[in-house]
Amino acid sequence: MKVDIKKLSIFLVVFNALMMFKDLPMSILGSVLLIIFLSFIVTHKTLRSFFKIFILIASIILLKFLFKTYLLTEAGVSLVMILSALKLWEMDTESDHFNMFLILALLECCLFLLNPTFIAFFLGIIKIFIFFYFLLKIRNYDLTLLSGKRLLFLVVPSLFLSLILFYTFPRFTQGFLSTTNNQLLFSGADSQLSFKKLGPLNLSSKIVFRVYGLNAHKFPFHLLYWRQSVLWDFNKEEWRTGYLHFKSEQLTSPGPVVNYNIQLVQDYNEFLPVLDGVTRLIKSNLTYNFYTEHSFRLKNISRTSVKYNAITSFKEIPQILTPLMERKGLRLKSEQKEKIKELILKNKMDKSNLSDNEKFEMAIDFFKKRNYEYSLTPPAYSSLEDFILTGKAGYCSHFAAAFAYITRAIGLPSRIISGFQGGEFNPYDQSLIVREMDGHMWVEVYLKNIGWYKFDPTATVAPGRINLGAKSFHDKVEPFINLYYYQLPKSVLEFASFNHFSLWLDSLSSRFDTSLINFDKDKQQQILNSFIPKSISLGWLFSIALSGSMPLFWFFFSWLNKKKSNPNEKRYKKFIARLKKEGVEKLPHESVSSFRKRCLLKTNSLEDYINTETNHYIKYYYERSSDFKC
Amino acid sequence: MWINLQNNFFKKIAALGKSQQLYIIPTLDGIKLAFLNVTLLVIGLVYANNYVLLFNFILFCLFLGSMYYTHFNLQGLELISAKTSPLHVNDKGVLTLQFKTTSGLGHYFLGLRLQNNLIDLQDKNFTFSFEANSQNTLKVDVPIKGIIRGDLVISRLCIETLFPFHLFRCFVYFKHHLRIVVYPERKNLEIHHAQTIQEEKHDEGDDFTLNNFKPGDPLKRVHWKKLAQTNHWYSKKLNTPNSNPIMLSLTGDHLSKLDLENQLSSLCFALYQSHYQNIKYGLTLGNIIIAPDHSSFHLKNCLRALANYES
Repeated sequence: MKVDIKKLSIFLVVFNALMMFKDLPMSILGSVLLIIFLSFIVTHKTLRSFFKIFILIASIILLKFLFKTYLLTEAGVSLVMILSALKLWEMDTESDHFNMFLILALLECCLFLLNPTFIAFFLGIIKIFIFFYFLLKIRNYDLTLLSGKRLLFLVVPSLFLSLILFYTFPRFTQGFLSTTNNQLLFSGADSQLSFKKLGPLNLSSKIVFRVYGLNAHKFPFHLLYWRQSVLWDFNKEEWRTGYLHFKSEQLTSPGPVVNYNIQLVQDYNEFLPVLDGVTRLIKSNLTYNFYTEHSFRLKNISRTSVKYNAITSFKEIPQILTPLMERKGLRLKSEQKEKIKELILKNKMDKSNLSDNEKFEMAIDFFKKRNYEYSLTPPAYSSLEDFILTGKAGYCSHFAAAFAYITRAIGLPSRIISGFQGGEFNPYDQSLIVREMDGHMWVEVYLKNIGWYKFDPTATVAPGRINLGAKSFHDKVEPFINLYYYQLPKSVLEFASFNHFSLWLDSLSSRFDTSLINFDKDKQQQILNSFIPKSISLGWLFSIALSGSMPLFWFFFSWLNKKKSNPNEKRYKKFIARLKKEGVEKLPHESVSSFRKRCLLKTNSLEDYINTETNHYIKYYYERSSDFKC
Repeated sequence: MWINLQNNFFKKIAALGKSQQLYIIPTLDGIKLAFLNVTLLVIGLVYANNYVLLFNFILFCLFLGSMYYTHFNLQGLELISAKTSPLHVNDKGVLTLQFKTTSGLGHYFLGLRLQNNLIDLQDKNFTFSFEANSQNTLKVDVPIKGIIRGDLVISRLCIETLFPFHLFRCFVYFKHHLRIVVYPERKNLEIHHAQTIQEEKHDEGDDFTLNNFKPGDPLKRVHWKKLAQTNHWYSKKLNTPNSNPIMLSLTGDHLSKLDLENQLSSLCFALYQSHYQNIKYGLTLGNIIIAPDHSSFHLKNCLRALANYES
């Protein structure tokens, strides 16, 4: 099969660009396609060099414009992507092909940085080795020589050694480069809420995290709330997390607690989701801060898989309200604040002596009377006040923001909790899978003598969203898929067996990911300690593995290289050894016949033996020689 | 730059004079891959990404494995003999090499490095292979071509291999005295000097050889005396050329290099022409004077004189 290496390179670059489609700006992907297109048009050498320099400079400026800094992972990946597209212009010599191979290998690693999953890795290995195969083919190698046994001799020990080195190589808890302030954030549950930007919601089934250790029989999984970030600051239509750091806090009373493990699988991680309640993190593979009470934030934003163990008490309610928290929880810069407050409290005569509970009930009452409707495609509202006063349709973000506004307007400290609600139980690995579509927002209101009281405004508007879970509820609300003028029932496209298969695949992928590849320092130490004494550090173990593998490799190849001696030759050697014992030693350049003559002269008793053995060897030798081909 | 560096390295190794010792160095591709490995290791550590680290280790171990593979591809090979027949500039010839092997894996894509300026490989990428578990003695004919005239003895032959991935170059020097003689190119330029020598006509009686008589041979060629002695029919075949001998020489003493080469080429052509026309010919080259004669041995002497002249 003749393959054009340039076309193969273009295919791989475009394939990788499509795999990074979600992580890179469209302008970068557009530039890559433009460069590939130009590589076919601009063929003049000088013009080509000019274009290349121009595009490179333009790309560097574009990267600065898009990312503000070159330290960002995406900026580096974009640069590698552009360089790989530029390299496609020079695919003339064997050296160019090999350079392209190196750039493609680097590009694959960029893909692993953005998408650290086993599937991406597996595909990457296949892509690179296909390219390498054709690279060798271009070098006129007869690849049949590399097939089967010979290829195994090379690949098996290499893979074996690479796995040993991989498992013994010392890991670091955190990378050396901290880019906390530069990383872009993508999340199922937002850590900020801009009311003006709220638009139609697309339901994504991308997995955000998995929870292990929850007993399937004890928990109504679809009712669980997962707290991720707390939005305190309200400023001009935007709710933000703000900065409130607390010291480590112990659970106030032992009470019944739930112990569980979470594995975050999303690309970027900053806030750690935990069960909504009073929570304490026991162990995490990355360092974290207590961002606000019972909410946790990583010190450095990470793309790597985050794993942690937490305990949560449901029965307790967070109690802390510091003066700073009270100020933040009541802050409401809004011109229509008084007007809305009047509307809420219009029936009350003595407005100053209302208890917190009374105010809270009035807020709920006001909210309910607005008769909001749940919709995934609400209209755009000019402001939050606009939605409170005249709005009708919305979803959890609208309702949570509106209720937090209402409570603050009447003097109750409140905050929005951004997180998830519900999830799907995977029976194959006893885990709970929480997806982006399970993203949810609710409110916590501080009531004297009670503490931070949880209230979910969405439950009052659409109880089905909470009781049924996101997927079932939305399927119920919108049971059809619109295809132009036709409506296709969603149930037609759903097969129970397919769903089970995808859950099984997910559990498999998760196990592979956590156990084999994405293990952390602790797990590595734990596994290795079961084989080696604890006193040997990982650094030493890696050095021993690396240096010990060299002689092992050597012996393996020496053993393979050893020529199997022919039984006839063995027999003749045995004959020589016996005669040596009799006192006749074969001289280095003595022919077989001369040696026989000398033997017969010296030892008469072994005449038959000497003749038989010599004739046998001569017969073998000449038969073999007749097969000799030059 | 890399090629110059590599050639210098080869010269230094050759100057060490060690024979049958295997050397292995990374190629430029190998160095690039090593550099990529270091880069990926740094990326994997900085971003604490296990997938990048695993990919890096796989590449590294294939790099390491290919080093052993390349090394063992050449190990166990021994040069028994090397032989080449004289050839002319721009003519094709064959260099016959005979090896002995003790390797069970075979030897693949071996290349020959001819470190001389007289001959070169016809195909720069010429390689040869010996299958796994092949015979103990292996023979290979390497197609070569003459580059410039001269007479040289090569004391070492270098065999190298890049198999399997071109990441490492393994080579070995075999001690072997290989004489290479490259005669000038044969060109019918007629720019040399040729002088006919008048000599007395000899009786043709002495200068002949006897062949068995075949029906059709002229009767005047029959050796009657021998017939009488042995009762067996013989025909006389004259060895002496029919024409007068000629002395071939250069046209001047101080010639430019190009003129000299052209004249030598012209002389070379004339030598062959005279030989095939059965004319006795001699050669004058500076101080060297070869008396007129006619035999294969004489032709070889004359050609060797041309090859050695101011080379």
